[in-house]
Amino acid sequence: MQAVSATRLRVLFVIFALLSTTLAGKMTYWQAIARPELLSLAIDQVRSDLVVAAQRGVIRDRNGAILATTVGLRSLYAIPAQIPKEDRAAVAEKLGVLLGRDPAAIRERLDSGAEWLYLHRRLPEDTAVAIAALHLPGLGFQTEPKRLYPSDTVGAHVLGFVNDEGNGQYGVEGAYDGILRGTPGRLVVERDPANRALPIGLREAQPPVNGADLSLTIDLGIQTACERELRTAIEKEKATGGSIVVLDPRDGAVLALCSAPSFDPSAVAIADLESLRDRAVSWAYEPGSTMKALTVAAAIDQKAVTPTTSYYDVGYAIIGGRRLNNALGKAYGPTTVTQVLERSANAGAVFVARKLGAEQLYRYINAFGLGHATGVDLAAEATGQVRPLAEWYPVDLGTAAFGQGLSVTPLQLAAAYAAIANGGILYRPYVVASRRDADGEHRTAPVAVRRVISAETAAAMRMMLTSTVDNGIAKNASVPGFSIAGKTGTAQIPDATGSYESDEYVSSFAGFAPADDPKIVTVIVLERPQSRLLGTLTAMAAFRGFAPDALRYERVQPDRRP
Amino acid sequence: MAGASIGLVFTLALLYLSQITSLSAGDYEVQRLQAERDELRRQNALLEVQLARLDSPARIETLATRLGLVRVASVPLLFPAPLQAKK
Repeated sequence: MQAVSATRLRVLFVIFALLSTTLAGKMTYWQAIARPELLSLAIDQVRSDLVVAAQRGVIRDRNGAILATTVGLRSLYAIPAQIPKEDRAAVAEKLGVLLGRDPAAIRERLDSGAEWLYLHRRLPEDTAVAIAALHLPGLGFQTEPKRLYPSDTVGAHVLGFVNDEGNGQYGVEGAYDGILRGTPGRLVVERDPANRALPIGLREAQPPVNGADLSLTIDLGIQTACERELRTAIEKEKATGGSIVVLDPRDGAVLALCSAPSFDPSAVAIADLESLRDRAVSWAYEPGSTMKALTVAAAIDQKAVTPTTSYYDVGYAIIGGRRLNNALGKAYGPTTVTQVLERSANAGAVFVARKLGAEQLYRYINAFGLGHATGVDLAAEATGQVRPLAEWYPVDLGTAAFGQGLSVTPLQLAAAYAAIANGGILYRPYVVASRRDADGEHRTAPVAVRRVISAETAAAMRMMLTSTVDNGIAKNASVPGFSIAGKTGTAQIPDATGSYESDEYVSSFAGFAPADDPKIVTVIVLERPQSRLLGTLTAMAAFRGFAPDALRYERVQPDRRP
Repeated sequence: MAGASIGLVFTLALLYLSQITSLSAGDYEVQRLQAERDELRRQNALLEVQLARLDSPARIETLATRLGLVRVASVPLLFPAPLQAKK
């Protein structure tokens, strides 16, 4: 009996010894060998390592009105397992009403088997509040950033947009993306089951650096007035596109810049690709007769002609073996250089260009900034095209004089007219007036690129262009109470074969006001207006429509009795 | 002597625990207030956007058109007489 007991004890001892050894081995494995892995799993359960997004900077107009800002909007998510199956139809029904969506589709998503899913992202706040008030089980909200444009489509091309990845594209959003987006931070903390950071635990924080806020030179009032008039002109003319640029000639600040067709920066996904192109900055056209002002300015500056120099107009000019006609073949007889602008005589422009010579004309074209990017602080600027002088045929002296055979952007032409308006200095156009970051406000210093013409030449040109509006072809641009200087332009459209499209034109008006002491310079361009050669009338009507608003916003005192 | 030591250790442990508890409660309160602050900031940003929308000249012009208002055809300008130097 005792022998049996001793045997049993030995067996039990062996069993316990084996179990103890196994347990000790397992403990050793857990504590020594698998420790890092187990520790990591344990830490992962409580530790969260988050990228803290930087707040994208706000974009304001020059008066402080918000043009673009980023706000956290609530996204609705569901944890279907927490919604009883018998209640899902009712939940889907209630959500369908508030979200304006088909309840069956919502129900289908709830029954999809997903553990967690978004039902609707970035809800309007009213809708989010209404859904929260229902206290439905298994639903929750997560805040996500959304770029908002309170003025909707106004200024779309100046602003650009932010894509789904958070990258700024086109306009200011694209050109200043690096400054606006800021630098994300990082937050590592241990969390309790309620997802709160543990007070006494791991905490590593690297705060984000928010993006800088930008104040633009754009005036929302002037921008809105320009867009209204451009829309009206395009609808009237059934034009394929158009643009308006308004500059402050005293420093090159862009007061308004619009382009049509346009887009909604909040809904770029459904926008037509062509509508994204900024026709004021990224599109070039032959300037036509608006170029004559630059030709005459160059010739006066070189003292090749004076405003009263005259020639006998027979309705055409022959240059390089080619005959270049006046519009509609009109012959004006004795004509002064001032009248060349008033009548927009092509033969007169050729006369002036001949007096000046090809080398000087080419030099002034470049000095006025044509053929070169203006350097405006917007994305995707086009340079326009001016062929090198070495490639000019003799006839090019004549055609360039009235704006054929070269192309410009509306912004380039506006900057060139601004040089005439301000006394002869070409300024680099700019859109961002200042940026504000953690170090304070940094104002943009206007850049005077070069003196193009003398102050005396500029004064003579202002008088001649004023006469063009008062007595000449641009009479329809006159605005009661203000002296206006300007010039119309009608240009043919080159086709792919190197010839011109038949009966298709680009109509434009370039001018400034008040003529004696200009505060605004503008270029209006309409692409393929249906009224063909009469498209300039609509361009001038657009100017007459927004100029009084722009001058009022600029606090410009009337300088003429109506 | 031993009793006093145990009492002291117990008191110190109690004090420590009360400090830790107070710290935890305070930190949770800070977190709650921070979340509240963030939500108020978000609400404020939404209100600023709403204000900008309501102030938008395009919106005001659209509303004016809907009300049947039209742009004034011509704005009468009044020019003051030249100032006369008083004798």
